[in-house]
Amino acid sequence: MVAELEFGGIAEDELRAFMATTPDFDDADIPAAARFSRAVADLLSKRQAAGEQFPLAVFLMSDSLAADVRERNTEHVPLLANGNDPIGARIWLAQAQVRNAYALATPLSDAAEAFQMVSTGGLSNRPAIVVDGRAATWHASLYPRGLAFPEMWLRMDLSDGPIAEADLKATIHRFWYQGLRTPDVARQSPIKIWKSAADGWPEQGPEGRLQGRLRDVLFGAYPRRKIRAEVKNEEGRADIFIVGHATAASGVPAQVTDWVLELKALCDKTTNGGNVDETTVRAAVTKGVAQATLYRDTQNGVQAAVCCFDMRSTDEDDEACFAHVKTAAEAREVRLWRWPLFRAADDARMASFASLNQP
Amino acid sequence: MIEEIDQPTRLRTRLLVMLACLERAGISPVAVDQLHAFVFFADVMSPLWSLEPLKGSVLKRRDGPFYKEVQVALDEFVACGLVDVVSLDYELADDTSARLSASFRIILPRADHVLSVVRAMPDEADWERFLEQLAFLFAEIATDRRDEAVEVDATYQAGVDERVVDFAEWRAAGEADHSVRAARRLQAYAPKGVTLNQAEQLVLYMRLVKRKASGS
Repeated sequence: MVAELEFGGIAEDELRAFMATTPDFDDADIPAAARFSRAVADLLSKRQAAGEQFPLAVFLMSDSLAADVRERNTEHVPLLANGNDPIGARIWLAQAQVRNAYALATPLSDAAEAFQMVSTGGLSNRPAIVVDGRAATWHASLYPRGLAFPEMWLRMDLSDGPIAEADLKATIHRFWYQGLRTPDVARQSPIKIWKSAADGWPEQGPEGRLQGRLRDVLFGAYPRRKIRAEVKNEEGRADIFIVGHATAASGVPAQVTDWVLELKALCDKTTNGGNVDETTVRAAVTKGVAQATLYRDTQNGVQAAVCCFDMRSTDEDDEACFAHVKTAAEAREVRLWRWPLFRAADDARMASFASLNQP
Repeated sequence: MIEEIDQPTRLRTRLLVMLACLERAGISPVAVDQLHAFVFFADVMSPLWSLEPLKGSVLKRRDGPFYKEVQVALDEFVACGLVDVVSLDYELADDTSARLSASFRIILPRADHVLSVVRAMPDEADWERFLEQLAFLFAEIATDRRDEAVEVDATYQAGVDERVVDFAEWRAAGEADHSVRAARRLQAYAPKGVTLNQAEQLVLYMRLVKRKASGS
């Protein structure tokens, strides 16, 4: 009796019962490269548990395995994701979730050769993960734009425990440096931040846009954590929660909201060119500290930071930007971080030059 | 300045993006029935992402949804070398009739230049992101259950056999698109303190569909 059902062919009871099973949704809206990062991290975990040792392995994400393996000498390894096949000293071509994979036939000897092979093989624009297994702790680096852009990389944290403050700040710094610092790098993403960088006009809802881009990066860098983004548009707020694993005092594995990030876009212009006064900007930072504190406490979070992306024309230093909230933030153990989004490459160069001359 | 494109062109470009997303998600080659099922889900779920559906209605057939315009565009892609026919066969529909079954695969090196133009069009980046998410979710459903997934969808299931199911053509999507209404309703049962965004609602709804299609 379809007509009696409340949502077409699905009953309210079905929705309730489904949600009662706590279905997973933490992979919502993550890009293919971040899925790839998670799948490879999972595979590496299995191979570490299997005791494999190797100097190097390279994983390339393929948008079309059929096209990429055509006319290449490869070995089909369809069950690679299960973790039962050795991975070392090979270049792997894999679908984003590593459900299907091929190994290039030529074995690898070192990193320089790997980069060369990928380049000469015409595969250097595929998102890549390079795993250095020479030390006891493996190091993995994600190149979201491929090995053709070796300066665009992220260190992948293969653990699932708490993230150190310096580590997280360095990851966000790299995100800023590679994707936001100047208008040229900022427009490489389809998610635009500037409506007109030269005029200082942000796109509508810059915080939500920054949140989306940062979340994608965090997914790639921390593939074994849950990362949730929540936006409250009416308040112009954007939060990111990073959830890791820990062991409770009882010895039972538990999930912990390791970090709460409150994002703020500090603008002196509206998206239509109106002026935003300094008082409003200062109030936004103050509110950010209060929100970060509140959310950390309500989510039983461990650490919190207000991440300010400063889109104003004047690049004031952290001291000046945070002077009015420094005491309150310290009392509440909320970190205050800031990165300037320059309106022209020249401004960025001048800022770099000025920082060199600081004592 | 990119000019507004007409509906047939929009359908073709979006179909090409769908084929690219399915390929990326590992549904390769894609059986024609599954392609039409995917088009249905893309259409019926697009209002959840504030995107306008290509077709606001679908004919509910015994063999699953079928879009004539999509089939024509697919044939054109084959003719111009953007899509490969990987397999072509007949299968028994019932005791007295047979039907054509085929599977297709986008030839990405040839389609890439078209896709890069599409990505530069207004709103198409949002569409690609939505379709990519949907393709990865669709890929989670077992290959032999993807047709069944349409059958258990809130909107499709509520329609009458061999009649048009109108969810956004003449009727308002907010009222007639049961799938989107059900996806939004999941918020009522979300964990305390969690506000589900549109992407999370999509993930949860499609996983509910997957569970229903698998009979668990």
